Amino acid sequence: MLKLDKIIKTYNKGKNNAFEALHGISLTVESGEMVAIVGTSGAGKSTLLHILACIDGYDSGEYYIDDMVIGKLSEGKMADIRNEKIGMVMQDFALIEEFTALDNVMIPLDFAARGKKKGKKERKEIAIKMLEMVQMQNFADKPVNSLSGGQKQRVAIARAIVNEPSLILADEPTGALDTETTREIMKVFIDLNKQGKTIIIVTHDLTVAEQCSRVIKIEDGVIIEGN
Amino acid sequence: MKLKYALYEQKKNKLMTILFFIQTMIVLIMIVSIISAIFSRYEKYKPLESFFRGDGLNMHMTDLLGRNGQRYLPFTESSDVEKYLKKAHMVSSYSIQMTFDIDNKKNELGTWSPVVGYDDELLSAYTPEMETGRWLRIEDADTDMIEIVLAQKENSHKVGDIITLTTSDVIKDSRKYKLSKQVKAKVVGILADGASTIMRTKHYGEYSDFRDYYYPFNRDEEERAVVFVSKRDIEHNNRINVATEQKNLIKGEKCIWPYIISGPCFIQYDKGISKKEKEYNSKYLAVNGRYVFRHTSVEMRENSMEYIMNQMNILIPILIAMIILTMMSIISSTVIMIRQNMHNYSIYYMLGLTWRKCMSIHVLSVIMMQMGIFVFTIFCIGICKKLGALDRTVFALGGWQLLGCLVMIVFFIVFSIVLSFLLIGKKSAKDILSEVE
Repeated sequence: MLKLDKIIKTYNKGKNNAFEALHGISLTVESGEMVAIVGTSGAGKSTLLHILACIDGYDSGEYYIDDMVIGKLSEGKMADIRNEKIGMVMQDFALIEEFTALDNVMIPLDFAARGKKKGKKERKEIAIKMLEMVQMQNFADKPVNSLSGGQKQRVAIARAIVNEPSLILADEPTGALDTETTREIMKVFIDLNKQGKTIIIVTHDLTVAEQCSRVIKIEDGVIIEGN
Repeated sequence: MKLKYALYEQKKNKLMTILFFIQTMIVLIMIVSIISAIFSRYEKYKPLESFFRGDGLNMHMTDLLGRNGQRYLPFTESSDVEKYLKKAHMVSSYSIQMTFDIDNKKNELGTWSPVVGYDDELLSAYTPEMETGRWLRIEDADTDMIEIVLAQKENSHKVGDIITLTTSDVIKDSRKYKLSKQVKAKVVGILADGASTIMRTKHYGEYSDFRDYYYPFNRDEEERAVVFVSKRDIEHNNRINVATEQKNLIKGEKCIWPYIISGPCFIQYDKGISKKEKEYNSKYLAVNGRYVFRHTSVEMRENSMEYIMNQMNILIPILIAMIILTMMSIISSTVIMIRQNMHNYSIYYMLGLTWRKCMSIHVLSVIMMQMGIFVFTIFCIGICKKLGALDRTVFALGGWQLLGCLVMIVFFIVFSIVLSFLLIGKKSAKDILSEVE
């Protein structure tokens, strides 16, 4: 489903403080896998995730999603990939606080490429359906800043899957949650994985990693285990 | 889609939006007032500009003697004066003897309202501010009904009133004799209180520029009402009525409404006039005319432009200072707003917008806000004007004022956009998302 081939990422390239965050990472993730990426702080987990999410580029190597070479795509095409094929879930939820839960979930639908954009009524119906999947339909009209951490993360997950992406990337999705809520959120991810979604979770939490079908350990920009 | 998120941006930053509104509104109001002030100076100059063009003499006369070669006879027609001058064209106002009793003094001697007449060129050059009705029109001069505009102290007359004149000063024993045929005059306009007309000077030539030709009629300061007519209208009325009144006229009089050249007079020399001819004209007018003041066209033109430029030199730096201060405020407000919105842009980027489209949401928000401020400000000024709050001020909302506001709005928009690009373009979504983590 996705493949990384000898990816190198250097920050501050050409400057005195140039730093190679990833040293030739190669990785393959098949469709339907639920993969955890673990490692200490500064290991390169977030850098790797940003590259996978098409938020950041890389300096050499190649990244494929469904045999499509990501590095050769224009900025517009990359934005389409982020909108259609990838769903992101962040530690801080990355929600628009003043929007309602429904409005937040509708954002990826609003950003759909011309020609693929659905009508307003249809967008609303899809968004409500996604909220139902994460048991948040009763909070549709509530502003997000009135929700708890667990509820916010559910809304974030609903937003991540609203365009039915094949790949879900989560960066420390339970980092800000308590144990009970972590369990609930992981259940949501597991249910999504059972529906065939490919899920990659970056986490410090070993209990979260243990629930994934594969654990990849990364250290100093190199995969040391689980490749 | 962008509209929804652009509107949200303004809603999210309510305090900043209000701050933007107020500061931009103040600048727009300053622009309108300064342009109005500059134009109010130029607007009074413009009607007289053509009379100051080229070479000639500009005067304020009490009278000009020498009609028919007779030393003590005052001229009654500017065209007659031209026959005595070399290569000159004259435009003049007139003092007309008519028996209007606008202030209702009941025929007390010497209480008729002064009547000011204008040559067609002078009449059509300038339209004073009217309270009701309209100014005189040259095309109405040949009708039987005399058209008049009043500058009245009390509200004794209104537009549409017909005033009947039954007597004339040049009928012998006017207490005994009445006009055989009543002469009717229709009020077509009432001058606004404080409005200026091209008339006898209030300043006795102290300015030596265009201002010397304007006289503001303030109702609480004036002793009597003034009547304004077209000289040609009176000429026409004289023609049609003098035959029937001939037997009752004082000896020597040839019309029932006599008039003389008096007040503002403008003489323009033809191209190619020689120095000798100019000297001749100057001497002729000096010998035969009695003046309040007299200047050459060159003097009038230069003095007038100097006055206008001095006014602009005072007003324009004020405007520039206001704009600079506002721009500094806009810079800080924009920086704050963008920083507050950066996190949202990074989310939009993550969810499928390009960074350029994120910036365009901000640009759209800026454009919407600035255009909204523009429309709202103009609306408020319009309402104030309608309610009369801006009467007796130079504040006006004309094409130039609107253009000035629009230019400033566009400038602010461009400035905000450039600043936005500099601030937003420096960062990437990944940087912002990483900051949050």
